[in-house]
Amino acid sequence: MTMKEPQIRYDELSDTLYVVFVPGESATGIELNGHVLLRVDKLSRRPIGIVLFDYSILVQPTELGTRRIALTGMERLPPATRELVTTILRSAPVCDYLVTREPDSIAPEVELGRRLMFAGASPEIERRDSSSVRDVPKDGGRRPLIFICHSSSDKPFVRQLVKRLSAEKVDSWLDEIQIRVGDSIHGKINEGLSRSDFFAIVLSKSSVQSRWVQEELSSASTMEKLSRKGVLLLPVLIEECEIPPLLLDRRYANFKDDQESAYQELLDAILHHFEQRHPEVNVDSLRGVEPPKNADARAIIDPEVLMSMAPRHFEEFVAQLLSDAGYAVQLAPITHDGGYDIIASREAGFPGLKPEKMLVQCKRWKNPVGATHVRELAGIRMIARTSRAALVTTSRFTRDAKTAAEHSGIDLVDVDDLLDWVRKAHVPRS
Amino acid sequence: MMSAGRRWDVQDAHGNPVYLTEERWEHIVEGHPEMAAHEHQLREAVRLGVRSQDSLNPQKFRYLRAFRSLWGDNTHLEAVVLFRFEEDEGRPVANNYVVTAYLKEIG
Repeated sequence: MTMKEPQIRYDELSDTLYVVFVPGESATGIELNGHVLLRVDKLSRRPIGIVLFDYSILVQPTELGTRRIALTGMERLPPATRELVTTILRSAPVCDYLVTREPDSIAPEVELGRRLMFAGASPEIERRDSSSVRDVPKDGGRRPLIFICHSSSDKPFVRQLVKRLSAEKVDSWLDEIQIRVGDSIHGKINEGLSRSDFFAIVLSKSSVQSRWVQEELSSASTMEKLSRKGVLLLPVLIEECEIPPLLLDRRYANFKDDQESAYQELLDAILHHFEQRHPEVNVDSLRGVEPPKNADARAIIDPEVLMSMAPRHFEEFVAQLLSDAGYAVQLAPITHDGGYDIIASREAGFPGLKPEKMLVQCKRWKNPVGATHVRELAGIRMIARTSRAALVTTSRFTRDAKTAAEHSGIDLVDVDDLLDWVRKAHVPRS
Repeated sequence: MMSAGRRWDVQDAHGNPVYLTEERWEHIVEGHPEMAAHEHQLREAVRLGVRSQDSLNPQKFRYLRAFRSLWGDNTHLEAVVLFRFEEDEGRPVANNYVVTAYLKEIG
């Protein structure tokens, strides 16, 4: 007897995925654990369906790959029921959807079959309220995906942001996902976590007025969940408003003052983090440009090539220049947000040459770097007690930035200085 | 917003108001046809069942209660309730509703 294709449908409200092998048939429910219910007809020993609760969480991959789900409920089953369940798990069609690992264990583990991994995006799966989620691109995982949580009144800003990010090959996921009265940010986070690399929350008067934003973004469990999943929370401030408590110590992209700088910072953070999570992906390939690979290439570099580098490659590039100049360099971890990218140090050598320790902050920006960043670096240098600090950019500095640098003793390296530095450091071979 | 089309309202053993909508009832019966004859038990499970917090979603609570004469070999009914809020003149008001429910066999 051949079995018809099962019906698979996702219920967004309860975050439940239903796999129905025999539609309309009643069944006995056997709980394999708190999130997997097997529905069977015990008389005929047939599977009727599988129900996956909290599906959007179960489907998330772990750092080690596909998530394994321990069927802890198996231990508590009477022997006859356990034998029936084991047989069903090992047989089609269930084995196509729940792939058993370590089948001889008393509490075997299963992985979701491939057909369930992209259930939200698969055309064969009926999705309730499908208007709320845009399908993930087929090459999902290769390009950064940012989940943007926002108030509906901030849509004009969000649309612009999505358009610009899209041009940088950063995909966004938003559509109808908005903070509405009564909505749960927690629920939205769960949805966003299932596929996204980033969770951006647009902070505005209307979004933070919602008590739910205040309460749920202040929830330690929400923060822990984001952190555990490696999803970077990106606060995006678009107007003066009261920032939720647990976001106070987070750096946010401040669009209310300098939109261009804020956008560059946001993009840098996205590419940095994505590069660390997906080392197999060449972030430069997202931009369609290969980074320069050797000193000769660097020597003939031009501003366009500098701009085409991923932020992390630009930091490595500056670190290499410093290394060539005799400094021992240490790059800050990608996720580090201490306000500097490189520590360069030099021991005392020749008589009169003092030991030196320098903090370097790199800004691979198109637009001029403002005084805020100079003052910020000056503050960090004071705390770190280093002798020097330098701000290096592929762009230029505003007049205020230059004044601030004079007052605070920060070294500024703009694009001309940088190109000059490269030319002096590396004479092309003939 | 879930408050439209309410089928019934009850209070759980902790005094929390919980309701079921027409839409959710249809959803429950569609996913679990064996539930069709057990709406009364669903209500009783929410009213008197043992409540536990979901391990993955802290806003989700499960209410478990044993019943005799459930369909097939099922021994218990479990209701899943979302605890949320809605706004009433700027103030949060509890908005707790059954999102799904199912039968299961224990023991």
